[in-house]
Amino acid sequence: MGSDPGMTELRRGVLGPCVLALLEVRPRFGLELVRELDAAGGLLTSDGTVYPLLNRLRDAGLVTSEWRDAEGERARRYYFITDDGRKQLAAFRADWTEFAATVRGVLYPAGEEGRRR
Amino acid sequence: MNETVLEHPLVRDYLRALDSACAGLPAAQARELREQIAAHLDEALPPSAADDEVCAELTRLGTPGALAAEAAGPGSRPAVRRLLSRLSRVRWWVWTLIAAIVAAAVTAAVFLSLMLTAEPLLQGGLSAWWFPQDRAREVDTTAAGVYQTTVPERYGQWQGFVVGVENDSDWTQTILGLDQNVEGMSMQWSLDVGSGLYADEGGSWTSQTRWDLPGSIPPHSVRLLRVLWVSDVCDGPGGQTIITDLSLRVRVGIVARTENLQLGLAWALQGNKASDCGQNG
Repeated sequence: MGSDPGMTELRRGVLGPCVLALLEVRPRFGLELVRELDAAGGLLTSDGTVYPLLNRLRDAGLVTSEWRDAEGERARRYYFITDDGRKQLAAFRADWTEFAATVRGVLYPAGEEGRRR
Repeated sequence: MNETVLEHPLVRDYLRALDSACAGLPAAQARELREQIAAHLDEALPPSAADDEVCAELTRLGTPGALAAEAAGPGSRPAVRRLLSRLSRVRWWVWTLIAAIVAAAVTAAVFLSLMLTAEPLLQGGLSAWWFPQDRAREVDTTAAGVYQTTVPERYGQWQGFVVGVENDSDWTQTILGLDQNVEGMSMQWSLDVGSGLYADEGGSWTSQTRWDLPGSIPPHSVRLLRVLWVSDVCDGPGGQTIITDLSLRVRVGIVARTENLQLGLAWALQGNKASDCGQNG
């Protein structure tokens, strides 16, 4: 995926909802989130940016965090999605579907897409 | 062997650089980010990680500057917020020290101001020629509301007077001497502050009166000031040398200043015939 400023801004805009989506499945700790976002491919400009983002989401009341100290494992700070976070994620999903369709329609007009293939 | 990769020199350098880069963030925010990055590295790398493994992980994390910028949010924060943020990182004891220094400076300034604005010394109480031969020949006159006491000048001899001096201020005032810069002080002078019985009321002096210079006058008290000089002006007949005030160096608290003491009346030396100069006694 490209690294021009436009793409960087686009990543920045979608990274929050992606984090919320991962946390909606289950709580995760920081490195776990980073690895999964990395594995998704092209979402992160750098791994470290996830942490300031998590802090902003927490400040906005969309996630919470707490330390968990499971037996036999190291203590880790886990992040949880909040009810507000779920609502925001649902709203984003609706907007994104529409937005992505619009962008796709502009980028690949009917007929043009066929000729590209 | 290290127990955690956080002891690895490259990691330590990275965290130090992160601390510096986050200096402009609120303290809590900077601390939290550092804790998150340290936990990330601690979990991502084994304690015995090789340099190239560490380098690769640090590269994936991004530069400390980029992390700090991300934490600061889009756009730079206003200078005032940055300043407030830095101030919020100053330790409590530094604030305590600054507060103590400011309080001490303000207190010192107030005291200094009080010293500088203290009421100057005033003439009050006794006014008399010091030597009996002058007291025997003094002539007191009043003209246009001005009182004058006149004695013949005794050329080349000590003459002088004693006046009561009142300190009406809240500070002890210490007379240090005559202000040497005052014009007309070419004669040989002697100045003393008298204290003891009677003198402490500014009323009179006795053989027990103690004469000192410097001489202190406590707040709201009166002492005697003895002013003597060797008369060497040699005014001609009809001429007079008149003293109506004295310029004194006075210490108030820790401040030395010049005070102009109005003597309340004019102390005059009557000139003799020119031929008498140096022969009068």
